[in-house]
Order: sequence, then structure tokens, then C-alpha cells
Amino acid sequence: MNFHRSIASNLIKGPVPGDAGGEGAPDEISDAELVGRCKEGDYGAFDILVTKHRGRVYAMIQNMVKNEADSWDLAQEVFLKVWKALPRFEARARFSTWMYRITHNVVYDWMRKRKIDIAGDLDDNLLDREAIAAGALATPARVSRPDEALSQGETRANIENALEKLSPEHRETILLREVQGLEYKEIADVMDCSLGTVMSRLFYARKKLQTLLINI
Amino acid sequence: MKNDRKEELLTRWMDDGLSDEEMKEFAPILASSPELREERARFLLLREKLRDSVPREVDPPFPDYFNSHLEKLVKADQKAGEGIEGPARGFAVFNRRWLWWMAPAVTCAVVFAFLLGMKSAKIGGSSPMLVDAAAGSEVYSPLPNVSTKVIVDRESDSTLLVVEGLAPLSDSDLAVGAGFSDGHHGFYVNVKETY
Repeated sequence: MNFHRSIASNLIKGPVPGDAGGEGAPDEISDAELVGRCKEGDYGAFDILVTKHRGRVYAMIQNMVKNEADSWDLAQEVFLKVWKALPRFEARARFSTWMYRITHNVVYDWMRKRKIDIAGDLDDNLLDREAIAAGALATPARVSRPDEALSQGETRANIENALEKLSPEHRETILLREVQGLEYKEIADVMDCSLGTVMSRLFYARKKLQTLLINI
Repeated sequence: MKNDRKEELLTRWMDDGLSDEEMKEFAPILASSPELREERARFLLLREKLRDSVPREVDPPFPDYFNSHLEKLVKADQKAGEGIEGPARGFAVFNRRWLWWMAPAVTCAVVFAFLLGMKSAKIGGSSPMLVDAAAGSEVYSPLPNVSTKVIVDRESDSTLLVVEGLAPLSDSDLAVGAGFSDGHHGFYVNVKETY
């Protein structure tokens, strides 16, 4: 891909609504078209793809690693890998599914490395995860009544705590299915496992969540 | 019925995704465990709360910087790729036997370069070095009245960031290690791969 040639086409940036499959409003450029343009070296098209999908990638990573700075860096790594791997993308899967697969790999690599790094080292950040301001500016604000806000805040905290108690595999399966809305087959592709494994993970993750959140 | 199959049917029933055939297969399970209906109702409520509480999409902090920094990474990566491509191609055609004979010569050259470097470091003195932020590190701020300087003292392996025009930073702002951000002031500092 020729980056230098493509800089000039940066100007094609337009309003970019986000949707799960990348197939939104009729006037919106489809992921497939953008990918095609990226393959021709159009960095402007890639910039649109990034703007369109960065929110979902960042949210997914943030929910897995629970640290704003790391999530930011990892999201950058994901898109750098996407750019590098785009020439090999064959469109057998949806672009968003393929992107989640790269996100999955980046997050698991980070977790493995993190596990090794902290093996002999106590990291306060891991013990005090609740102290981290998750997406301070980016979290959508909605004005609620104080009592309503308190109750919503409690529910949210309970749900986040419960999600953290799940294994990474169960948490990711729940997030991909219930939050991101992926099909079972897509989850299997993202997590590189069989459909049966997805069903089983979903079954046990839901059971565990229900047990952990019995009072909400 | 095998447990795997039962789990699959249950999972898909929760998602309202059973075909008529599968529903027939699932009916005896439902008949023998009527509490499953209640469990499903509780799960659907939980799912609703989960979707309300966990956002599907969260824009990363400083999204404009996110894109511009990524562009910079892509550019750097491509530059590195181009740089390696030429010599790497030449290297590949090198005969392995020649490489074998060259190994001691390369080792000597590395040792010589190391000693030379040690010597020049001593001559160079220990005064702090002012580094242009654009050359290596990045200090980003969307505020036009904020200026930054990066001062590196290589000898003590320390870096000083001078940020002018911001409200004072608290200790907790600076404690996050590899880069930090602060929603109120609107800045992001990435010093991860700089020095």
C-alpha cells in the first residue's frame, strides 16, 4: 500500500456513523468498499474505517483489560495490525468479525505478557481496578435524578464486578454475544474455537453471571 | 440426551433461536424442569441491564489524536519496512559460508564501536539535553495555549516534561506509568517508546 499517495485522499473524510456490521445508512460507504480502497493504498479510506470502528474496538478492549491507557495503546496496535494485514483480508468474513479476531489476539497476547511480567512483581493497578477512571471524557453522559443515578451506578458497578469474576474466555464470549451482538459462528471465528465451545462457554458464563447477580 | 446438546438447546432457547424441530426436541426438557421458564425471564432482564450498563461503543479518549497517532505509526512502520526491504533482499543472496567467515569480523566491529561509544560518552559531559518533542516523544494537547518541552538527562536516565498553560497536575495524574490522560485538562502524553 502506498501511504504517501494516499495522504492526499484524506480529505474524503465525512460523517461516520457506527454500526455493528458496518452496513448502516444507505448513503454510508460500506466496509467492503472502504477495504477495497485501502487495498489500493488509500489511507483516507482507512481513516474512515478507523473512525467507524474504533469505538467498538476500544470498548471491547476496555472491558477486557480494565485500564484506559493500556486500552488506548492496544486499540492502536489493533488498527496498525489491521492496516498491515488488510492486503491479505479475503472478505470471507465480515470486516468487523475479522477486526474482532485481531482484537482478540492483541488482548490475549497482552494478557500473556502481563502474566509473565507480574509473576514476581506486585502491581497495585491490578488490585485497585475500581480506582481507574474508565473512559472519563468518552463515557456518554445522561442526566438522571440523583437517586436514579445512584441506583444505576450501583447496578453498573455490580455488573462490572461480576464480569471481572468471569474467566477471560467467558467474559469475552458474553461481551461478544450480549453487548456486541455477534452470531455464535462469528464468535467461534473470533475466538478460534468450535461452535460447541461457544455454546458451552455461553451457557456457563450466563449461569455464573446469573448466580453472581442474583440480587439486581 | 447428551449434556452438550442440552446446553446448546438451552442456550439457543434463551436467545429465542430454536427451530420448530429443535423446539420439539427441547419440549421434554422444559416439561421436566418448569423452573427454566422463570430462569429465562430472569436472564432476559439481566441481559437488558447488562446492555444498559456496558456500552457497546466507547470512543477512545482524544479520538482525533487517536487517528493522527495511528497515521504516524503506520507511516513509521512503512518507512521501517522500506528501509529493511533493500538490504534484506541483498542479505538473502549472501552465501552462508561468507556469513560464517564474517562473524568474527562483525563481532570485532561491534566491540570496537562499543568502546568508541564509551569514550565519546565520557568526553560528552553530563549536561541535560533538550529534545524536540516532534523528533521523538509526543506531547499532545488540543489546547492552543499549551506549550511543551521535553528535557532528557541521559546520564540519570530521567525525563522532564515541562507543560506550560495547564492547571497544576496532581500526583495521581502522573502515576499511571506508560502514558496518562486526564479528561478535565484534555491532554495525553505518550512516553512509552521514546527514550
